[in-house]
Amino acid sequence: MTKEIAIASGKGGTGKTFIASNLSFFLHDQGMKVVAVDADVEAPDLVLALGGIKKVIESSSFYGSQLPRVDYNKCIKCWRCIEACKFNALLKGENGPIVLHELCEGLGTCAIVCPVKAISFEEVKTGDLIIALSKEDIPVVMGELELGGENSGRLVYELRKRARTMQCDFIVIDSAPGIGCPVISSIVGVDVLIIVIEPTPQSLKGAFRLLEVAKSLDVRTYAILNKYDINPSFAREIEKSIDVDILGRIAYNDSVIEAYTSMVPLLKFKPESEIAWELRKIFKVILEEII
Amino acid sequence: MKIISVTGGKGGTGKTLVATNLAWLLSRKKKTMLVDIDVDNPCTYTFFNVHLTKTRSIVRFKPIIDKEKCTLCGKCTATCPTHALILIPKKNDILYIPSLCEGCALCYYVCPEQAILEGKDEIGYIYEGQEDNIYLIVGELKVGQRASIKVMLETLSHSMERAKEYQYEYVVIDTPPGTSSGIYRALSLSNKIILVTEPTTLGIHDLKRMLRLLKDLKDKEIIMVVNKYGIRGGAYEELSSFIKGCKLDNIVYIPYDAEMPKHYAKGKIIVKKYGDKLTKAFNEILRFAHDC
Repeated sequence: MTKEIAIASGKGGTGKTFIASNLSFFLHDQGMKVVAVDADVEAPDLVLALGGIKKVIESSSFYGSQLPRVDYNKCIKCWRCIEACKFNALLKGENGPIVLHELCEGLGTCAIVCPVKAISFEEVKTGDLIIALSKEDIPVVMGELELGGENSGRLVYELRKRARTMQCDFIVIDSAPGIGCPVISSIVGVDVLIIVIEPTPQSLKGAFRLLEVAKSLDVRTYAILNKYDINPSFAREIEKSIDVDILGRIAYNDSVIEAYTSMVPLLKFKPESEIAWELRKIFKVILEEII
Repeated sequence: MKIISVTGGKGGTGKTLVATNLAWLLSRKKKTMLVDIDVDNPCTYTFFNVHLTKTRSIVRFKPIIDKEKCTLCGKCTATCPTHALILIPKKNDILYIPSLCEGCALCYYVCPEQAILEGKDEIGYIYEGQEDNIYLIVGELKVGQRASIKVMLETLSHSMERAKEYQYEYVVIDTPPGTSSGIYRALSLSNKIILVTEPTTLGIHDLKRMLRLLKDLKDKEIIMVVNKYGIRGGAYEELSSFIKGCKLDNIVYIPYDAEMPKHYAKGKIIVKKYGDKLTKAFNEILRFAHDC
């Protein structure tokens, strides 16, 4: 049975990609078959943390949305479409409604209410789905949402669905920051969710919000305290105040940035460093006790 | 009125740091509004002594089924584009799954019996508050809801109305990470855009995506802020070749200081404490924010 582990955080920049890339590397190194999923489709970076792309295995367009097309010859300017649209995505134009693409959700209400059938819908490309083999020999399923795009949640579902067909022991999902649509799509139904928290009030607040979402989705959740030494006293406060098992505390130092710059996971870049030891300890607990 | 958006692509590079400190500096002389559209996890207000009041809730359509009128014809369940309505023939019932509903109201329009009534579902809130000369507007997604972008857009239009009404001279918008349509809207409303990045491989990579998003926007003044400059092990070669190729000539460097994150982590406006070290960087950002 494939196990899915999602890495998320309410706030950006706390170390999701750091944990996800090293966890993928660790499991792969233990002889497991791992597929990494980069679910941050607005800022996909996971493959860089795993050495960059060695080979693109598959690339396809993702049609996650539809856009209305107005036949202005048929339109009688009754403006029922404008009244019906819940997203204010239609404006009165000289010859009929004008569609504001960035507001349109593509759900089709305008077409249904149009009495003369002047509105039809066509599928539009909203992103790409790419499967690449990283230089660390771990396949990464990633999405790239069209710039300024929407429906990232649907693309994330597609990525996970595709990863599940790849017959592996583990799927590691690097989620987008926040608690919204792409995050819910990243964590719903996973075996384990790991929240990465740094000792700042902003990160703790995000973690609380994410925990609430995880609870409502009934997802088994753990946390990792990252960069705990940038504010050790606040880190201790977090440990006391948050109602979730903390798997470990990871310090912060230059080697984390150096590893990224060299595009090598820290576990390989500095395998004997204190951070590497702590990471392995946490990952062993995940592998041997939690999953 | 000048509108300045602070964005950058990657999370944790220092967008909120720049937005809060810039707003604080501007507010010493001008009427300034700070708008937080990082609705998944809004944090700007944690840096001010401000009492926020919930001034609006953001709602969207949800179907309420009148079971007396419903004939279980299945038209709504067959039309619902997100499968939020499911017909259960054995139980003679229609099941509504709120977490799948996008609020498009298609069901309301297709029902031949008018058995679907217009209900409202709360998806987020707008808060407002004042500290000294800064007026703060914060958009927040309700926990468990998915519609971040709608909350961002509503917060933006609400803020624009307020800013006009009260004649704010400066509006600073703090955006979430990413390149979503909500961020695009904020940038298209702005006169000036501040791109905050850090000297790391991932920071530069995500900024490149952001620059592609900016291509469609005309007549924007752009400044790039490299935060944590000098952090050891950073991707400096990559940064300098990126800078050479990116055609941005307005670049400010905020020096890295290991003590700074600790102070920031306590929720303080750091220019108050680190005035000297940051004067140069924030003076340049201020000059950019004012008319050049």
